[in-house]
Amino acid sequence: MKVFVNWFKTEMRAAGLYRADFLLRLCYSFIAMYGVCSLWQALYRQDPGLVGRPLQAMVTYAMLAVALDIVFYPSALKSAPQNYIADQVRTGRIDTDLLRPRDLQSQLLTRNAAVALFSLLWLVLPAWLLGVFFLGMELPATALCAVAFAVSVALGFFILFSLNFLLGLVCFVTLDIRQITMAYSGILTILSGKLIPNWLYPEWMQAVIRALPFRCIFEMPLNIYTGALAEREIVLGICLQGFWALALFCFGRLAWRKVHRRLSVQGG
Amino acid sequence: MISVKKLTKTYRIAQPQEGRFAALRSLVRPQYAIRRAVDGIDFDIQDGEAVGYIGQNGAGKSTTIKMLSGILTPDSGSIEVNGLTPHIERKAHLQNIGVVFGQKTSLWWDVPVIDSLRILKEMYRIEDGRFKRNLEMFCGLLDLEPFLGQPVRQLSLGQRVRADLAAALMHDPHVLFLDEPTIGVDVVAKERLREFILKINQERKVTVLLTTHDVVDMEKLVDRVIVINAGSILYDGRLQGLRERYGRERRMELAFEGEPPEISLPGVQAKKQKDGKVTVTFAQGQYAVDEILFHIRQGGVSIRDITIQNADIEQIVRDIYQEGGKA
Repeated sequence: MKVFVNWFKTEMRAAGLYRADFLLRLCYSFIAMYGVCSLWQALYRQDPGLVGRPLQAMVTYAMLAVALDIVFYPSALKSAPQNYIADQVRTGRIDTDLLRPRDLQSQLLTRNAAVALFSLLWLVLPAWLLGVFFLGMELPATALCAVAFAVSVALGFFILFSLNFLLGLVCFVTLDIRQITMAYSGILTILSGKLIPNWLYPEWMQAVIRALPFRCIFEMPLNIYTGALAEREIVLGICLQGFWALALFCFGRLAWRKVHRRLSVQGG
Repeated sequence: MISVKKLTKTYRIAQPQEGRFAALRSLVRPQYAIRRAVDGIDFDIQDGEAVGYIGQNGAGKSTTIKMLSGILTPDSGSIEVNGLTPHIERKAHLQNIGVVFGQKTSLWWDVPVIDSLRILKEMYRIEDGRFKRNLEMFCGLLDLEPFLGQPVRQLSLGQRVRADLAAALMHDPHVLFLDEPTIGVDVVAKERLREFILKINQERKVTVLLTTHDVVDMEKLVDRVIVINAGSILYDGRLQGLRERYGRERRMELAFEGEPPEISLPGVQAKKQKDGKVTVTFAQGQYAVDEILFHIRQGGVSIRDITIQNADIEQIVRDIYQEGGKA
């Protein structure tokens, strides 16, 4: 926990150091929010019944997705587990991570969570405020939705972390994951409900998406926020997220153990 | 105390295949060559000792260090460091040791040094008081202050190694492994690093195992060396003894009153220098210095000045490396 606090402070200081970078990121998310807002408004002018949800709810969904993307974008941050592992493996510095008295997975989770919390407070929150005041974003449907949304975002983060970590482990085998990362980012963009609402896909594809963990990252919290889910569905959704979070985390742990054993036997 | 017994480690190296469909075949059924990186080595290191671990590139030095630090599992043999088996009791062992690689930093690349140290403080669960004391001490000894706030990627090599040394010692380890700590560092910075390592070894009684190619490192820092070649130990003993055992050549510089004479003793080479002095080299043990001087004086010349040089360690190390220790 104290390691987490220290990473958080480090991140704060870095933001102070690179103020221009920080402001640009905020600027970017505002522009992107404005962009999706205009896009959906234009689509609704063509056919108001297109999506099956009121315009304001859809605009809120889309803008919030863009704002959350600051935390969730898989390859934006150097400290994201897959990027960090790739870097360390490529430069041969991964040895030094293994020399610390903490497990690699928890080392990375601690740092990543601190960075995510920082982004949430200093980038997503301001972007959200801008959206509410200037672009007509709605507030959470109910107080319950707001609380459930927070829980859901946290779980979404854990799921994404575990997926990223697993992707990073591939690096130990292939040494380079740039191509795989591209494909992965693409899948995430299309299947997570970040850009295209999943309910617009054909039935068979929705079935596939329901079987995969990706929709738990964006679609679930966003649906909760916009009030598209009934109470029972919210509880079920969060349970599903919890299941994926736990399963993927354990899978990551097992996979890392295997990779670690191989590393320590075969050498780097 | 470090105790290593019959330690071996082999690596499998994928072999390129030749002939038709070579790439495909190496994918389907790769062939491996077995390379013994460390081949049955034994040694003990007492608490507080400073030991140099030397050998050519690829001799097995880093592999040994990696096994001692617990990130590599040995094939056979046993290692004990302060009563712990590194690759099994990994976490407890890592609390006990510090490791510095001259070639790569163990700090976070894009994070300021002080932040890295604070994060390590929590990882190693260092109490506030101890952290403060150590930080102050290392800042003084290693002059860290000017770059504490800079991320590692902006540091010069000398600064980076200093920061790494401080980081490796923050948790007061009993044992310090240094893998070529002075490599590529300029002369002045090297001297400071050596002073620091010496101080840590002598005042804090930290056991130091140091791999290096730098002869001055050895002479200043360690009194015992272990020479490893092709995975086996060639020599384990005092640095001085290495000189006696492998320093087969002795050298003497003579200045004469008047014209230098011809020296004709079997096995003795004499070479006239530009300044009129003569350098005489001969095999250790073949002659006593006195015998040679006696022989020269028989010719009726008088010697004005004599300098006798011991074979320097650098020469010895070079000889060992070149011959693979066939002494």
